[in-house]
Amino acid sequence: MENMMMKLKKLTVALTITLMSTTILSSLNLAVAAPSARELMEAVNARDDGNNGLMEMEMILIDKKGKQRIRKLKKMSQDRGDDSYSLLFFLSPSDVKDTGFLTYDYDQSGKDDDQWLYLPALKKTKRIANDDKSGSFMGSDFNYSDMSDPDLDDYNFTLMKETKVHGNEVWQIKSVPKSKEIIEETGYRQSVVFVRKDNFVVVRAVRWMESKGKLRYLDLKKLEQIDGVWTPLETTMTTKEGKRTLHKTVIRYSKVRYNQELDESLFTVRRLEKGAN
Amino acid sequence: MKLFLPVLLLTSTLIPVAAEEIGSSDLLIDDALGGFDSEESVDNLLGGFDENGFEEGEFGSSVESELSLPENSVSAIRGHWVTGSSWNIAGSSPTADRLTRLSTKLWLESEQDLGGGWKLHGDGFLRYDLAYSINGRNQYTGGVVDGYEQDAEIGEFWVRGSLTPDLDLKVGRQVVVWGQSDYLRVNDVLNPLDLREPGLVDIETLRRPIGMLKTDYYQGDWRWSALLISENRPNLSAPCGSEYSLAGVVTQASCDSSAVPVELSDDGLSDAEYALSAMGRFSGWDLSLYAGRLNYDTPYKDAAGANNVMRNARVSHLGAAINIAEGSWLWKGELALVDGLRYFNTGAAKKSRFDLLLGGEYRGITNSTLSFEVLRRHINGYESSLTNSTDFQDESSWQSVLGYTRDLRNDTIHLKGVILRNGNIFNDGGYLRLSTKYDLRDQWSVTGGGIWYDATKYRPDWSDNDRLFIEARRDF
Repeated sequence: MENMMMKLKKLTVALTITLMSTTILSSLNLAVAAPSARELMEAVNARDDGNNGLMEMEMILIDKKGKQRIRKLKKMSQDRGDDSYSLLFFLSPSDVKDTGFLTYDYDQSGKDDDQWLYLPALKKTKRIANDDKSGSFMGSDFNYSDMSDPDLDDYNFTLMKETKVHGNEVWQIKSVPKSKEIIEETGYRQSVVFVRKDNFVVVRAVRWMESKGKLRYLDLKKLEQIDGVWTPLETTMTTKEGKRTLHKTVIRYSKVRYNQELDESLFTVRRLEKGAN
Repeated sequence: MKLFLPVLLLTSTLIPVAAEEIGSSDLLIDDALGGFDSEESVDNLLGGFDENGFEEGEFGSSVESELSLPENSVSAIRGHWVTGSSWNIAGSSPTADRLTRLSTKLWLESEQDLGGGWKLHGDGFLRYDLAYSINGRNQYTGGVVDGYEQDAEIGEFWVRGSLTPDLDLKVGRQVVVWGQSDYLRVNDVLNPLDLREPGLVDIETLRRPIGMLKTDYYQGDWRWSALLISENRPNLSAPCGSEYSLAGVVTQASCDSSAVPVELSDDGLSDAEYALSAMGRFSGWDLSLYAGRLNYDTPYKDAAGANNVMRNARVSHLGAAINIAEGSWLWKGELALVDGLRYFNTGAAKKSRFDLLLGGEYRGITNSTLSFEVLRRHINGYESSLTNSTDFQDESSWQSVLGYTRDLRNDTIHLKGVILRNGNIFNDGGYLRLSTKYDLRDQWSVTGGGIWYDATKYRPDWSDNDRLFIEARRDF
């Protein structure tokens, strides 16, 4: 956490200096290096996204006819060094209540995550081995790759332009996977992301799906600073083919709290098998 | 058309490879996008957002009032109701009527927090099958009507809590799953099974809960468990006269003449089972070790006395299981040595059996899982008479399973296929089960499918039991 904060501070200072220099030097009509898209994405990844967090999550899946399915979940998360631990429980619907998912997300490049799934109907905890992040996250329009920070070394970034989203100044950045493997792993051929200049939050993104002709639109509808952490409270992801909406997911977070005294023993299979309560 | 498809497949494979070879994934993408770099076309695509406004809260604004989840969204009592039917579709049905099930089942469960981290859980179900009254009960044996027409059962009923920060206690009827395999059982031997309709039993009621005292001690990456099992419930086997029984569909008189008294292990401490297990979970792999003194759930016909009697053998079980995750593969291995097995044709001799399972699960295909498991069982000190009735055991036997699941249309459609084959070259019968589940709403789903059996070398012969099934489920 401290490392992340330090990185973020350094990047923010560097970017501020670069931007100030750009302004000053531009006015002097001298050539100067603008912040690179890569540096901006490093700032996005280094942004403080909270530690020892507790929250509830409502996921609304809406099909093209407007029919809704609602999943409610409880999430706990903890950073240990550069690694992230999380525990997720279904609260509803009834048939999946107490289904739990424990993830140890390692920062080390090449090291696979440890994941266990507890299935109450089977009374069994299953280890999940899954490098492929292109699958749908619990039936939603989010892929698993949307739920974690990308490895920046896997992409080429281009700063397209500066614009405004919801009245806020943003950088518009194009992100292209360097290899076919990354496309297959994430399910996206490329993305355009909109990064807010004041807090490095990605407030919008367009993702070109591996399945040609389909696009995904991520839109952050509600953002709030909680315990000093910029927290997306409502996000939609819409899958479209041309102008036609195929499916849409709304994710809302509530009861968000950071810096809770979460014991390390919470993030264990023992706790996973005991359910949400 | 016949030529077109292979050409299309070939070219669709070659194009990305060619692009990769020239080292430019950008080229591939840009080609596919048809001019993404054009600002105008990009802006057109970027205009696909729904403009429903944006809210940004400031410090201290109340978010919870707007977004908090409804309290008690799931009630204290929950469960499901299932109504379903199945029909025999084999070429020649062993029964006069093709309707094999028209049942409705109500499953209820409840959990109560007792305070201090202790929890009370209870569940159970009621089931009634109208097929027997529709077809006419008199065409079935008494055992079939008693065994299949209705159920009323208390399932799990337990209290759980922590005695110390590292020690948990769970007392009561419960299910404990040993092993890592999903389809074939090597170490998953603690709970008896419902085997009345193999391949068709609901997952919630497949394992029969048994009364036990279980303690779990946690130390670092390890969990050490000790179990004292005082309740002895038998496997629920197909009764005499059932399509799934050893003798197949026979008359009541035939069942009466071949009936063998049953003297299964008693409840209480005299025949209690004892077991220990250790499970370590590490980065990338899990390891489990098992040991138990158990009553073997499949009874043998004991011919030692004046009359034949069905009994449970008292066996010692030693086993181990391992999981290794590697990319999108999960490799599984299990082994077990079961000592003290008894058979009808070998009198008082006790035999041991060595079971070895290898398997894998691949999740590298989007929204899909592909699994396989291969199991070899070997009876030590084998005697050729074991091939005779009613043992029907080869010295070595093989079972293999291939399973495939796929979720479609945002997890509303779930496809599942399982092929189970016996024999070292898959040549000794088995079954194929295919099913599709469709989630109509959050609480409603329908499932339809079929199961097709192949005859095995030994009885029972299920080859005329092929079925189609359909069911509707409402969760609450």
